[in-house]
Amino acid sequence: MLLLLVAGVVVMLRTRAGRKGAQAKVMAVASGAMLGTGAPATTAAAAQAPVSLWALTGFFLKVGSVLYGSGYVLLAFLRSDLVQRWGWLTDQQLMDAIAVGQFTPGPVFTTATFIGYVVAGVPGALLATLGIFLPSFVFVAASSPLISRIRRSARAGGFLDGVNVASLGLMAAVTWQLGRAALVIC
Amino acid sequence: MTVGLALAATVLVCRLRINSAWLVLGGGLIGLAAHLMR
Repeated sequence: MLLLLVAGVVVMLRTRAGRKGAQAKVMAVASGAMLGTGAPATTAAAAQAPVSLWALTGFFLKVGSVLYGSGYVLLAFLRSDLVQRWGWLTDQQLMDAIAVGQFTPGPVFTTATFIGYVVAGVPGALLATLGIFLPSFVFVAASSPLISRIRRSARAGGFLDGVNVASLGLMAAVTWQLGRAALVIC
Repeated sequence: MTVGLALAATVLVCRLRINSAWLVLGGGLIGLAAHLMR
């Protein structure tokens, strides 16, 4: 807790100190963008078009349905869709969401609540939370009679081993990408 | 093989920006295939 607090204060002070310099940098990026040489969309400020609650709920239902591994795999899904594909969030907003998911009590999945709030306010927060957690309850209820059979199956074991390894690679890639954004760009 | 598969997944995400869901599913299928070939 102390480490988190100290790190937060250090970055906050650094951000305040660098704000004046950043303003000049933003002007340079903006003029570069006008000349067609601007930064990529993921690092530029997101053009916040209104996001429908249906789309938001559907996205988190999908993520809640296909996510396997841990909350850290969630970050890969969020970045590829929300930042790179649809532009609902910037990299910076995603990192803020991850930080909120980390330091609040409960699972990292609470990141979804923060994202829902950022994208669509309180209804978005509620629906995102519902969307990401609901499939787990349904799947557990539906698959509980099959669990003992799945555990005995060597084929299912091989499949899950492969999924684990791919998830590891996914986490490594996102760690690399977000690490660069957190430590180098800002 | 485990390390190779993890590295391949990392490269696929970084270079080709492959969809995460397909990547995880592909990893599972490779794991299943590896088990069947043993």
